[in-house]
Amino acid sequence: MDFGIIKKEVVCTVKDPKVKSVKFYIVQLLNLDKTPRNEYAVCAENTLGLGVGDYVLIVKGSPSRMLDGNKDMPIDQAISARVESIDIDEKYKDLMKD
Amino acid sequence: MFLAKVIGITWSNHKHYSYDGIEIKVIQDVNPETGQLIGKPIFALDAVGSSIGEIVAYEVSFQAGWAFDHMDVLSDTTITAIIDSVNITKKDL
Repeated sequence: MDFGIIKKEVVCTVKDPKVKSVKFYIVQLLNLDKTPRNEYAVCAENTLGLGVGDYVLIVKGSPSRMLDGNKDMPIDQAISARVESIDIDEKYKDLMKD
Repeated sequence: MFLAKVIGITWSNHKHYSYDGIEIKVIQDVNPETGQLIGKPIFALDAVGSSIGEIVAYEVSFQAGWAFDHMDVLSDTTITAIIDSVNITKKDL
């Protein structure tokens, strides 16, 4: 799972019927200390109700089709949680600088 | 399965409904011979109740969700075991 910040909301009117209820967001991936990485992901999200600027966790690969139960959505990246904070043990703090 | 060390905890109030009662830990791969951390930190759901500083085994990809009682967990990385010790014979080194 990866960590990122929501940068943009994606609006699309014509979608596959299986992803009718799903919203898409553009997420920039971050290091643990919230410094940006030069990587972006388009992620699906269903029930959380997020906005631009929220810190989120991203699930990658085939498990993301579980977004709305076992319904086999054609999705390969999904937002699974909004992150309030990350506690890193003092001993490993230097890892956050990456 | 891979070996990693738990280095932190993530706090999140607003989660996917399948995450109820599950903690999200921050882990980093560890070299079993030297105990040094390698690679980048990643996030993992915790199926066993590990704590910070412990060496754990984690599962990736689709089968990671099967570690929990209910099958429909949205997870691509799950901590599935706490490692007590690792034996490596000299022949392997």
